[in-house]
Amino acid sequence: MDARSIPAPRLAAALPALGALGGCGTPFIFAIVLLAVWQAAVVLFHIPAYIVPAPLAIFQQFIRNWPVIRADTIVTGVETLGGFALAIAIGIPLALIVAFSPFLRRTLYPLAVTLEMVPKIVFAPVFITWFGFGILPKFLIVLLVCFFPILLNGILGFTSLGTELERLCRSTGAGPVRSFFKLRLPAALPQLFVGLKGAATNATVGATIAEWIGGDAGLGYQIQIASGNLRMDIAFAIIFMLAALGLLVFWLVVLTERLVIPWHVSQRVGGKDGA
Amino acid sequence: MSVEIDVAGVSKVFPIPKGKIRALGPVDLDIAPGKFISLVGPSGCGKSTLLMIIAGLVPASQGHVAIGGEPVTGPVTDLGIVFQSCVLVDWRSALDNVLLQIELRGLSRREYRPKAEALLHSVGLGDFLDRRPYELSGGMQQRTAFCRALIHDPPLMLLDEPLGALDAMTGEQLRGDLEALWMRRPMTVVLVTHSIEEAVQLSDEVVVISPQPGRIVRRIPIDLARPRDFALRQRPEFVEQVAEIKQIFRGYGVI
Repeated sequence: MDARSIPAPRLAAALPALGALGGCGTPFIFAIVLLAVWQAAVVLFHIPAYIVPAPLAIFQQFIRNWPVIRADTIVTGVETLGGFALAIAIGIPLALIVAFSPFLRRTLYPLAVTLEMVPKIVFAPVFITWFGFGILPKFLIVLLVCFFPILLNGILGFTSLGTELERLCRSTGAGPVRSFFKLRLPAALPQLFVGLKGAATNATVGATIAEWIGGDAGLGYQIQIASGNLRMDIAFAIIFMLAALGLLVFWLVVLTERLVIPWHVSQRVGGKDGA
Repeated sequence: MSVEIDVAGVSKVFPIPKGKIRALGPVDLDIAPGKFISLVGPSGCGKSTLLMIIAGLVPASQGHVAIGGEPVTGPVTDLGIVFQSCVLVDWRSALDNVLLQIELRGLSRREYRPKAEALLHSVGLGDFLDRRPYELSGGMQQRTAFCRALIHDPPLMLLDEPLGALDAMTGEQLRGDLEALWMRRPMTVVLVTHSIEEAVQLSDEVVVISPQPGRIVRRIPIDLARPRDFALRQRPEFVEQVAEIKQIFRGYGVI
């Protein structure tokens, strides 16, 4: 054995906490290091707080403004989850219909693609004109940004049954309902979750945009005020909160996925090649 | 329980950008009840298409198929099919994959469960009932697929290159298993394969199909004793039979 390789196990023995953190610890440690470098850079180069605030200052503002941030997080969270739920409720049934109707695939689907090409932000003022400053236009913007990945992956999922499995199914004489619940739906689930994960990453963006354009509450609204007052420390505190909210929504989808399709190749312990 | 198959003037034409392409036929073929026959031909000759037309899963461009005297107009449900890929579903265990056949047919799961277990036991998968397909080897997966095709006691089994994707050793094992399975229960079997040895080992009759458009060139009865074990396959009559069929394909420049 090479003499230089000896210290490695000794290091692992000295830092059992590090070893216990395992794969989950690495990104956490990396984030801490990054924040430390940031803090050092701000202090060393005397960067003014209204340009780049130091992480500790941001943390201070986070604590000081916690009641406001918490209230606005709930507002943005409700908009995000509500719009996301709407997108699922409309997107998945629509994907199912489009998947099995050649007519709709030639009519509705191109329309959805065209809509997707329009930057969603332009709909915010339109929805505010139509529906006012309440929560409805926020739901609609989130719905718009979440809708397409759900529809697209839904269509892909519902048409993903291979030729052979489809033939096997027909040879049993199973009707459309039975073959849907026994085969098509479970076969579509992995692709549906791809769409849901894509939509989840869009959802907070939609809610923030909507508040930005016409809101009187929420993290998007607060960040606009903070930037207007050159309070970068507060703005960054809100940015971190938005990141946390986005991660939470994404994690909710990932958790659901793990519970619903534990059999899928993406969910197996140790990945494709087993533990 | 087994059925006869009658194929009369069946051909298949596929539309292509510039006109049409004839993939198969016309083919006339009658198969007596309880026979094990193989369709052998080079890839692209339309033998799988013919099998799917017999199953009523692909419509014929011309001609008719009748199974047990009944004309085929849509998917034939009184049969079992095994494809080249096992097409087991990952969200079900081996046992539940076999029972999928029962559930899709709207039959009672509870009633067929002991039979499904017995079938899996009979092909050496007794200890693997609860395993998911991805926890099984390729040969085990295909054995499960055979059980799924047999659970409802069909009088007819259609096999679309079921051993084609397996490694040579597993393939040889499954050939023996398949012959044993068929000898235990009377049923008509149509096997599509590009392996001449496989066809000769398993079949009562080998139907030789020409390159595209597939037509029946020869029908060769195989009158060798069963089971056609390893020793028999070394005997000159087996070897000559294989060579005779290979000679036909040599004539076409296929091999």
